[in-house]
Amino acid sequence: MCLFAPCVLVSEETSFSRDVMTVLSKAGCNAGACHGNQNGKGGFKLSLWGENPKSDFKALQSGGRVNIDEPAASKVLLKPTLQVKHEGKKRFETGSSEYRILLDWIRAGAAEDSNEAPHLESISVSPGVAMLTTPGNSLALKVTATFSDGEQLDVTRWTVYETSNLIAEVTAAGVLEFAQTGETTVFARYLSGRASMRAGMIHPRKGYRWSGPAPANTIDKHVFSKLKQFKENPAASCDDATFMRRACLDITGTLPNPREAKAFVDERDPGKRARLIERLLASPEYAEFWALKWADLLRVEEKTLDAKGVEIFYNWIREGLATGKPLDVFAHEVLSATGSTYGNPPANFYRALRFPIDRAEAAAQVFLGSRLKCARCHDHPFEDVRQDDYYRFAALFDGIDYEIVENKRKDKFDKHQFRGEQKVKLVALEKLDPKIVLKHPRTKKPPKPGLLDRDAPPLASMNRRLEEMAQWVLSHPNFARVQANRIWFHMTGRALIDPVDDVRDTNPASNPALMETLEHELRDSGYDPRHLIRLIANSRTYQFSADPRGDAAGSEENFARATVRRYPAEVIIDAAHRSLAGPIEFADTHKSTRSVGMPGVESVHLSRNPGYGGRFLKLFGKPARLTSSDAERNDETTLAQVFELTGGETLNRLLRQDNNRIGRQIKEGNGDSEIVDTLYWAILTRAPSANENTAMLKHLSAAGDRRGALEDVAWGLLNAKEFILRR
Amino acid sequence: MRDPSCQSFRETTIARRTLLRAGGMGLLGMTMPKLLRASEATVANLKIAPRAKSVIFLFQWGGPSQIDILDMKPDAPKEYRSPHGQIRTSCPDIEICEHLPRMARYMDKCTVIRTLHHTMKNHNSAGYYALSGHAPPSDDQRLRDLPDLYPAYGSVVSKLSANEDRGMPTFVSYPHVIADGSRTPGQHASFLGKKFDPLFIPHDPNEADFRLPELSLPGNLTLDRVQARRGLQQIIDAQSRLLEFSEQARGLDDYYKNVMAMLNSPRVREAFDLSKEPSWLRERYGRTTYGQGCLLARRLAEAGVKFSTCYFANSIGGRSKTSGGWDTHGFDNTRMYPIVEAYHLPVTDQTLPTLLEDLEQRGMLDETLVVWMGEFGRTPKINKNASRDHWPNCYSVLLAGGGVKGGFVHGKSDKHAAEPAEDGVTPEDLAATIYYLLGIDPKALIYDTQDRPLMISSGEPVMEVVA
Repeated sequence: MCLFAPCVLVSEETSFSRDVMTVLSKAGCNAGACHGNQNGKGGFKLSLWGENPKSDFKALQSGGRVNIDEPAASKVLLKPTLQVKHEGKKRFETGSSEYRILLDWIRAGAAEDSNEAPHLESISVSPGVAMLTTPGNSLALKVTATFSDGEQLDVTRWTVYETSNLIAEVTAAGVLEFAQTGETTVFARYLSGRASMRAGMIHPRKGYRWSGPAPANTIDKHVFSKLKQFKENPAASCDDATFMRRACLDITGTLPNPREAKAFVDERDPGKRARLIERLLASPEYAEFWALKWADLLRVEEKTLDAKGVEIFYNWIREGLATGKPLDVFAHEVLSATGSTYGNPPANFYRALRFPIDRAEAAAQVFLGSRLKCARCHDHPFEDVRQDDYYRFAALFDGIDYEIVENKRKDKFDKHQFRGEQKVKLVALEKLDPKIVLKHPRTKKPPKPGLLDRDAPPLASMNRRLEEMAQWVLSHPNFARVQANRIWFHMTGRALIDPVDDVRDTNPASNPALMETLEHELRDSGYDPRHLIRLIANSRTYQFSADPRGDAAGSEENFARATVRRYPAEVIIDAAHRSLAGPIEFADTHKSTRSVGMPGVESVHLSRNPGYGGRFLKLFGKPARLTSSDAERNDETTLAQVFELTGGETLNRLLRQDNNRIGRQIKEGNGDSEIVDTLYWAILTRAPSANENTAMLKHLSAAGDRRGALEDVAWGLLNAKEFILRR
Repeated sequence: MRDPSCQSFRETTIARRTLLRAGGMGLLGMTMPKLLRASEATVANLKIAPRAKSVIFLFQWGGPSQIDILDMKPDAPKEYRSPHGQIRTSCPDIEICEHLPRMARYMDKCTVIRTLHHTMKNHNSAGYYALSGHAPPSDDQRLRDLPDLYPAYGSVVSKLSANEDRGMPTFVSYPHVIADGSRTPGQHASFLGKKFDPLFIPHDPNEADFRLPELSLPGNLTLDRVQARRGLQQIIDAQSRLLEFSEQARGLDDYYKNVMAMLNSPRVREAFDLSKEPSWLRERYGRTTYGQGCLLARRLAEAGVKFSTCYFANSIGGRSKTSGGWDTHGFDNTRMYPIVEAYHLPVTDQTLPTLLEDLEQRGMLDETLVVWMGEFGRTPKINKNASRDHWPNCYSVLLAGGGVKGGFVHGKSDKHAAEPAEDGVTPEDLAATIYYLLGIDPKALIYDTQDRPLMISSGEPVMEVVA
């Protein structure tokens, strides 16, 4: 039976590698929840999504699955048609195309033809991009497969489809159907081929007119273009007070004080926003804040690096940011650093990552946004990275050894703990102890090291393999892409590629043109992060209000308005203390008074006595820096956090501190109105409305305990949504 | 027209897409929509009728000896067998240590699995295994609590089958954070996220001032004052309009509503208020931290907490007659038997039967699964310090209530209680059994920090122990 009616194949024979493997995927047999599972199901194990046809062929030989003498009695036919019990239920009907392919194949002798048959080169799905307008909500997709013999076939009916969200689904026949307006990505899978397309559905919105401003820069151009495509209009520009707060917290993680905030709002200069951005970028807090973000990714924590190493590494990162070191230079230094971890700060990267697979995964994830972990156990399900590629790349990171100059760790049983200088050294792979050298799990032999890219030339010099690898990473298009995506995410609260460090063809950016522009800008600026931050902050897009004004403005997803999102733990606790001018001392070796500039995590995650500040930071998601992923930091809100804010030690202490802003205001003899105004500006960076003023003053005048009542007001402000949430 | 994939696959697909998770991903690595915040749908893979409404997990940190307690071998040579005698119990198939006379009367309510086995010889690695049902990457004495380790049982339950009644937490643990040099992994939600961490109470339930820290306001704040503050907050929020247009803001405000409700309602506070228990009952459990911990577990199960973990001690112990865990090696000139005779066995004999009796009398035993286990057993051969060392190869676990058979023994060990002879059970299988009894599909999926789909257990439920 020919699989691909109405087109004609050279031979009418059913092919194992093409037809049978297709059925195993389309019918869901080799899915991870079923036989594609690591342990198989019911004693029958297939390779995940058919990545290994040869082993699948072998698996089919036993257990009565294929019955040459009585083909129709083959288990591979009886089970999925539910003629016998099947935990996976019914997959297809007797007499269906799936059934007939398998039957014909068995009848013809159930041969294996992986070596002879033309193999799949690629698939493509069309259209690549589509926009539907209601009531039209469906679109027929077409998937074309190209084989090594030049043949091109329509495989729409045999492709496995998934959508990135529930607003749309694709039928088995390849028809995309939207359930509601919005955007989705369709992921198509046929044999080893992967492709994706993006589609959206909007309401006709007759009479739609663009009511937004003219673009201020190239970012706006691309954002507005998409908004227009989706017939959305942007929110209004945020007011000066909002901008002041937003820019300060996004660029420096530090709250402006009331005086500077008011001064900014009062200033008449039309270029004041641009000048504020420059001031913030030039401030030391900028470098501290963005160094914090890099320290998260580079595992700057005390158990492995010790307190001295943490400080040295963090300071080096911070210096680099302060002096405008290009990101590619920075990355190169980190990826190729060896030597003393006290003497050569970036060598701490390899001190933290002590095994080849951890190093390879970290290098890929941090610098290419590539999540390789899946390929540890099988071919990567949605990136073109095979298990062999993974181990070849990981082998490159083998032979990084440590001369432990000193290790004065406290717990002699804890081999993860290091206190003292170490020297990171590159050793020849042949010299490695055969017991500990990295081995490919299937071949059991050490793989020949090489770059991740299957088509890349072999390494020129084993001695300089880290430099070669670093060069390759930096010249990879994903380097600029993930750095740009990160910066965009940190500034706007919404990444273009989500998750931030999951860059792959099958996870396209929500605005590909914008993503490309950001990459170019970063690259062309010589990888200067300030340039990109400046460009973003100066765009109208960045400066839109979060308020959609009823239904007037479009979605957060399309950047029609600012994203509302919880601030990081450090920002919240520092802002609270700064706003009330109340001191806090964290339990780190420096007794830091601000957490944004804290180099390590010891006082939060490693100490028996974290103190209330450390507990707060942990509760609000400060990462322990045990992974190399942006995903480790948690900005969820939880019930426990709200308990802490409501009656917990941190805010309670702060509010009651004698000489805090409230205390000082009272001492200065200021009236209720003035104090309320000051508190609003200090905590929320805005003035109270008439309504609020009335309510606060009423509360104050009714209270017997004036100080207490002011603390209540301050509590209200610190617990206002607009304090904890970015808006 | 739907893709004709199998029912359970499709249900997985739908279920995980309706899971409330910021930044989570579907099976194929696609972004889950943040806008699709449906109710935190319980994942329905296989539909399993739950037998247990709650689990009480009594973790015997340090490793109790199988051959001295539940799997005695009186005919073994002197170097192996327990110096303690054994006594008949209310179950004809099992005899237990003579130092557990009260417990002997309750064995007809229990299932003992005598053949739990694994290969982790260190407390932290084995402890993680016991608390999560997943093998650690290595037998590391100081296994690092990395975010790619699996979550505690209770966190999985919290994620997949949270209390419908939002007023009570799903997962509570107390009173210690256990550690052996470094904190033992498996006590919290790990990659599931902080939302699914246990409500952890670091206080001694035997103390008069035992209370839930969150529900205790600092001295300077009364409930009225907190309410007044909330009023001010609401006025301020009204100004920013965030609640009108932001789902994030609304979600956050919901938490404030919950907090206010919980502070106001006596219900949660009372669930943790042991002073409400009659003193004769408190005496019966024993006025010890662990004893009152067992009482608290019953009280919490009664109040609707689905999973309570009570840790026997904060340390692996084994060197003191008054405190610490079961780790009796005979180090530091101590000896195992005087210690367990003076402390561990009497405490066990006082607490466990009291708990079972208490549950039964309240009609709760059928729906409350009690799990009594440590991270491993102890060496079948007595060591040169007249004590025993670690032994994961074959050890015993006691289950009661919640759908398990009463008066049942599963698995046979060899003549020295050294290796399983019949029906070995892995911690993965035990995990699958616990989930099964709770009505949670043991093959349900959770997602790690890299959004890889992982099954909550990779073993098979031991159906032989299910009633």
